Amino acid sequence: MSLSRISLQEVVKRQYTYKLRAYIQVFMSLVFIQVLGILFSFNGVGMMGTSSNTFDISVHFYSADIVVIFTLLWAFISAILITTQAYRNDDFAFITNRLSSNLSNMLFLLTISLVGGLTALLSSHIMRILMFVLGQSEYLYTPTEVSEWIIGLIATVLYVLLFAAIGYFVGTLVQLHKIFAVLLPVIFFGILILGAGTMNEAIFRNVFEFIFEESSLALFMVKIGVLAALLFSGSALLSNRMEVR
Amino acid sequence: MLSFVPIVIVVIMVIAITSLLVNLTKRSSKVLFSGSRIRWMFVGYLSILLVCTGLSPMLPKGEITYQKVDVNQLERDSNELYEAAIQGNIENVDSKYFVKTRNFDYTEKQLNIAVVNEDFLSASIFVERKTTNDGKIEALHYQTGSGLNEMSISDLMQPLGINIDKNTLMLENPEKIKLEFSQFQQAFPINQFTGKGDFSDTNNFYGGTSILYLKIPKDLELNNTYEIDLQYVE
Amino acid sequence: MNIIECRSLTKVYGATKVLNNLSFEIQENKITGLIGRNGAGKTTLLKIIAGYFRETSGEIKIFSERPFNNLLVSANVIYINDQMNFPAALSLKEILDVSSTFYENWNHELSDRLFDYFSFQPTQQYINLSKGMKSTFNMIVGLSARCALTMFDEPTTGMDAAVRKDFYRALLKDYIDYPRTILLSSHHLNEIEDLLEDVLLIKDGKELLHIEVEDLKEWGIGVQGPTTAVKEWIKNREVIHSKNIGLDQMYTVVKNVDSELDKQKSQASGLLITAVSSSDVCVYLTSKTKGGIDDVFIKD
Repeated sequence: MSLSRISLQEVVKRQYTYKLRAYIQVFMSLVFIQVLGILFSFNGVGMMGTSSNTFDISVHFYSADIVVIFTLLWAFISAILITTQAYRNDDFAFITNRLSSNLSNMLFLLTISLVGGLTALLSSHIMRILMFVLGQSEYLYTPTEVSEWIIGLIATVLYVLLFAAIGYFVGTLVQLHKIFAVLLPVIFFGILILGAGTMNEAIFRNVFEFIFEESSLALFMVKIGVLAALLFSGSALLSNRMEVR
Repeated sequence: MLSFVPIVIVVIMVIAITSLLVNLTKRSSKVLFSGSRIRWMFVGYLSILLVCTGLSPMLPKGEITYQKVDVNQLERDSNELYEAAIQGNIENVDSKYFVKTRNFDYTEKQLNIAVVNEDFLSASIFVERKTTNDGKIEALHYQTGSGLNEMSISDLMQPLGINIDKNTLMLENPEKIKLEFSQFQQAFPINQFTGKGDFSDTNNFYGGTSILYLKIPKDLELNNTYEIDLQYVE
Repeated sequence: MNIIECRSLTKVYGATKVLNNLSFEIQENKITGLIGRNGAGKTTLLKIIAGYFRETSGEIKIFSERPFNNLLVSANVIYINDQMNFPAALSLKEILDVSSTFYENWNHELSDRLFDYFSFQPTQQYINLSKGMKSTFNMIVGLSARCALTMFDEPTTGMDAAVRKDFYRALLKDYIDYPRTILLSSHHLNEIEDLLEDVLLIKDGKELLHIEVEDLKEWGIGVQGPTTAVKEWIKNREVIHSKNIGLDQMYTVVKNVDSELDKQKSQASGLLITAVSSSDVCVYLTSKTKGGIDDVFIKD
């Protein structure tokens, strides 16, 4: 009898193509979330007023910020969901081991980060068109330079990837022990609410600055890359001994 | 209080996303959409995005209603006019700055200056004494253009109201023009690295210079009851 | 060649030993029935073999490799049970397509024919199937994958009698076409008896018996007669079942170690010697007590 031998790489590749089909709902929720984000964005994200002796000028600002934030949340939740039992068991209906399952999940999350980041950026153009058609006030055009396009794409995709990686790690912890399902939100909101004015706030602020105020794209790429790698490999290590079904 | 509203919205959003996703994936007896339908829906959304991305640069850029103008040029114009006024050379400037002129016969010894509708006048006042007492006051109004970004909004500007009532020169600021615009900003991941992001940074407004040039008889005394800055031209 | 080698395999959950020092071997291309009562550890054993669970101690080798996190094992083992789930986004046909991309030996023709025979609709959703239909579909996947080690855990759950018969025939025919090692777990033997070559009987996580079906048929004998005579006769014998019949009659099942001569002697002393079907032997061997449910209701 000859046994079929299959390499890890081959299994990951097949699992990845399978997941693109099987997890298609993730993309549907993306559409829902972004459309909702676009609707929310019509309030604008800010306003500027200038006046001179003869003019009173107010400019209402609109941006894809809300859509991007919604997309981050979507990536976070989606990543948690694919760590849940039902999804993990689906993998074990076919050829897999825990490593290949984790690797193909990461590839999948990378893909949804690319798709989510790109669509979130593009969504501002839907807003522009809608504002033009529906809006009463005049429309000031801001050109997007090619460099901004590239920066935007890289940065947004990395942001989405970071949130997906955090979600995947959180989901894995919860799968390890259900206590984390309670513990993690309590810790998070505890720091958020009680932390004001104490040392926790400084930590919180440092974490925030570390990511959200990094002004060098290269450093940002390195930071997110390292963080995502740590989170993903942490998840893979934690779940490597997990039993299924 | 207000700062909690977005957080609440976000929390509701998270719950909504979660329940939506879970409902769709929970192994209940109903599947909302089949795989192929979701694929079509997603492809549809993507194509709408791409079409809009293609169309949005073609949107009118405000330059249909407004002429294009270089803000730096406006600044140079403004300086040029100002210099000319200081040097008493105003009649030689480009006629495009000229708005209107009023002539009054005035033989009194004194003239009060008053602003009708505000404390300040939107124009700077330059005064040139004539060499004779000819009993005539000439009021010349000049203006340079205003612009927002690359749009000339000069055409919207109104002239000053200038009148003499008894022994007071009544000046009236033109009505303020209110303009509202919508503008798109890049999303925060872009601004984080381009350093843009402060709302006011992105717009370039230049308000033009308005000058009221008065030519008065040699010995007329001007009484400035309001705090209006008068510059006398030598 | 041994496909499965299992030495003092133990699996502990909390305080209970689900598998307790289990040792056995299963050879290539045999159809083995894994028989035991509910909770005997059948499913746990199969899941360890499939690499889902980790053994607590002992050694388990599938194709001479440890199955946990092993791609070679995963690629050559398919485990079908009734808790099986497939992604909700895929239709039945798509599930078969995906399966065929994974399993190297997947037989497309077989899966299509079975799919049509059991009148599945290509666009149907797995979660909308009834329990019996799910089992049938699982069976199609399990057979078509043609894995070197194929395991069916209670495969006929929810199937009606006709489909059960079809399943067993399909299993047998495909086994003849493409011999492989098959493990079939069930709590009753009678249905699958004709299919099996070997029987592995487990109870409380321990191996009770691992013999050929043919031997199992002759493993036990029933003795019936007056209580006193039977009691006398069963001294020094291994009794696996005993039951009182009426006031002074008794029926016992003992391990068959006697020669033909002994049997004739016993018959002479008024005892009735009968053969015991292999499925009854299994029931008696795996029962928790020596008696039966009747004993519960006997108040001394």
